[in-house]
Formats: sequence, C-alpha cells, structure tokens
Amino acid sequence: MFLSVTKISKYGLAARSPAGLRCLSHFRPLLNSSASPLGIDNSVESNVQSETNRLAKGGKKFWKNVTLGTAPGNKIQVELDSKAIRTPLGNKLAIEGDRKLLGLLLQHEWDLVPDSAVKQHSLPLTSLVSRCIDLESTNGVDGDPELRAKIGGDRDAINKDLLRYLDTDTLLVFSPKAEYEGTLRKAQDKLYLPIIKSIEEYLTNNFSEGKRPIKLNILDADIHGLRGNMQDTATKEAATKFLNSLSAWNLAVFEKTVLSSKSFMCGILLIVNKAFHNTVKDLAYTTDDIVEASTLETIYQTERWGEVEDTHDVNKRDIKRNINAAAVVAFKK
Amino acid sequence: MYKGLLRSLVRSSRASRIVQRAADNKRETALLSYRRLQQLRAGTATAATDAQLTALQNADPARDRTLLFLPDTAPLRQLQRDASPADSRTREAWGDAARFLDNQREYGELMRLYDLSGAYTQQERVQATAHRVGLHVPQN
Repeated sequence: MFLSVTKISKYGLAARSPAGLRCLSHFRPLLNSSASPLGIDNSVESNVQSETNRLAKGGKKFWKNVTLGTAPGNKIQVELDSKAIRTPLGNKLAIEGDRKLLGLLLQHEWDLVPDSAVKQHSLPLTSLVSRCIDLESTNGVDGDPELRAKIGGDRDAINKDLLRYLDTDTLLVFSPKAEYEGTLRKAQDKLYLPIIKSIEEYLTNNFSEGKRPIKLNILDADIHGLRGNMQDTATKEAATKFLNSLSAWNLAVFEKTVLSSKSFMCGILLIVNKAFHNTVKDLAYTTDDIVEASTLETIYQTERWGEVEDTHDVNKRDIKRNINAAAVVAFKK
Repeated sequence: MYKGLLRSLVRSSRASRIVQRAADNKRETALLSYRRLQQLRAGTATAATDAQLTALQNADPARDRTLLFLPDTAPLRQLQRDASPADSRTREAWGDAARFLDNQREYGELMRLYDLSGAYTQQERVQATAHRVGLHVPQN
C-alpha cells in the first residue's frame, strides 16, 4: 500500500524502484557527477567567459545568426554571429565531421531560443554535448585534474556512482504476480527476461575474466519481498570493464541514459545500438523499446489509475526527450 | 524518414519563430512610426509609410504561411543525399532525431501549461489556478 502511494506521488519516476531510498534522490542528488541542465556549473563560481555560461547567467538572447562552421581536424562547430560557442569549461562546441545530423540539431536548438528569458530545459542537446566535450578534454592526456574534479569528471567516481544503478536496475525488479491480475508481471517477463539474458551473454563474451558466465541477480517481489538488490563482484567487475571500454564521449551519453531511465541496462542497450555498429543480434532495441522497458510499471499504473497531470505526462516526455537526445548524440555515421 | 524529420523541425520551431516574428514586427513598427513623425515634421508625404504601418499592424505572425516551411532546407537535403537508402542505422537516427524534437516541443508546452517555467504573469497564474477547480476570477 505504501509503495503504491509513493508511486503515484509527484516523485513517481524516482520512487519507482522498491529500494525506497530513491525517494530521497529528489532532495539530495544521487550523483555528484550529474550534469546540470544547460551545463551550468553551480559547484564553484565560474568566471570562464563562455557562451553557455553567459546565457545561463543573463538568460537573454545576445546573438542574431546561428551558423555551422568548420574547425581544424575535420570538425563542425556551432557559431553565434560567426563566433564559436564554448562549453562551460571554455572548450569550443566542436563535434566530429561525421556527426552532421547532431550539428544541424544543435544549430536548430540555438535558433529556437526566444528573445525573452531562456529556460533551463530548452537546450538539452547542448547540455549533453558540452558534458561530452568537457569530459573528453579533462580526461585527455593533458587534462587538468582540478577542472576534472570540478565537473565531477573523474572516471572512477563516475563508474562507482553508475554501478549503483546496476544493483537496483529497473529491468531486474519484478512485480508480484497478484498485482494487476498478473498482466504487469507477464509483460515484465516477456520484455525483461530476453534483455537480461542477452546482456548477460554480452558481458560474458566481451568483459568477463576468462569468459566466466555473468549472472545478473534479479529481485522478484514474490520470492524476495521488499529488500535491496545486489550484484556479484564478478558482475560488477565486468560492468566496470564495460564502462572503462567506453570513450569519454560515450560515457557521458551512457551516464545521461542511466540517469533518465534509472537503469544501467538501458544504458548498455542504447550504447550498443546507437554508438556501436551493433553486431549482436539479440541486443537490437530501438529507443521506443528502451523507454518502454524503463517505464513499464508506470504505463500499467496510469492505465489502471489514470494519468496524474503535471506528473505522468511531463515525466513521459522528459524521459523520451532525454533517451532520444542521447541516441542522437551517440550516433556517428 | 526525411519528411518526418522535416515536419518535426518545422513544428518545433514554429512557436518560437512566431514570437520572434512578432518582436521583429514591433521593432519595425516603432521605427516606421518614428520615420512618419519625421516626415510630418518635414512636411513630406507620409502615404507610403502609412501603408507600410497598416500592413505591419494587420500582419498576424500566427497565420503567416511562410512559417510553415523551414527557411533553409539545403543542409538537410545534402544530408539525405549523403545517406544511402539501404543504411538502416542512419534512417533510425533520423527517426530518433524526430522523436527527440517532438518530445522536446511537447515537454516545453507542458512546462508552460503547468507554469513550471514562470512564463505567466501573476494575473494569469491566479486565473489558471481558479480554472483548475472550476472557478472564475471575478472581473475587477
């Protein structure tokens, strides 16, 4: 009873996992590495003169034309009145030449900013790409460790934070058979079990020490009741290896996906399908599938109890825009 | 897929382009009014400026049909030419981009609707709150 109350509460998405601690995430950021919207640096007073900081502080449009220019190394950069936009850390907002679609969408995003106040949620792509670029620059060969700490860019710290999502992964938590006349459980079995199986195989084949089979522990409400879920050390090691294999760019995309879907496995699905040329047949999932998997329980709740306005409808769009933005940023021709 | 992306781009840009066009019109109107005043003072004919002014005042950006098209589709068409039709990954990415734009637009609309972004004046906020429970704010 308590659980179903928290589920339709304002914090519905955050409280979805039975590991009740998630409720707290609204008050205390779960990750200190999470990128703030617009890439605004709230941690320390930042005096870097960059376009993203200027917009974040002034909130007013200060340019007329947005164009795409070229940068050294066959890169595309987004320019405001022929001056390159820079990220919160002062790096140029330049992307590789084979991410043309992303470039066009970034240009479109800055074109859309209205004359009046700029909203925190209006530049999601820029915010994510800025995080990608800043992570890349601070984790590069001559990256500044101080700046790295400032944006929460230490890879070990990010890994540690992200691994906590694998313990209580949404895709590993199964509802009791009694709920919703068993329909939700049936849907979960149908959707989650194949994903779990193929991700176990994927981790075993690519990241397991001596190819020892990886087993993901699930939390079945009928058997285990209400308790936390934990993964084995071998699983965590393989997952860490997977994280270390990602480029800084892909790690930022992965982080965004995990934070919005509350699922480590959704992150793997997105990266494998959008950033890599997916060669694993069983792991082929679209963004719609990923969103469905991560919000399955909410879908059944709103079907039964109705949609709470200002909550479910907003959350639904939020997760969809974030997952699809991650997919676009990950894509490389 | 190309058409879907184009449609999403137009839809997502329309609202803000209407706002921008309205702001441009306002600026232009101010400029023309000033010019008309100068012409009156100098004693020259103001008919041309008057015509321009009425045209501007009658213009409704919300009904402007040019906003139903993108100003420049050349880069998009280039992108389409570069992609081979057999490339399912690229087509999927275009779909993702369209879905992103649609959801981003709807999210912004909802944020405005539920007043999470402070786009309303105090008066409008009070009215919206009253409407929610089926009441009306008294006139004055």
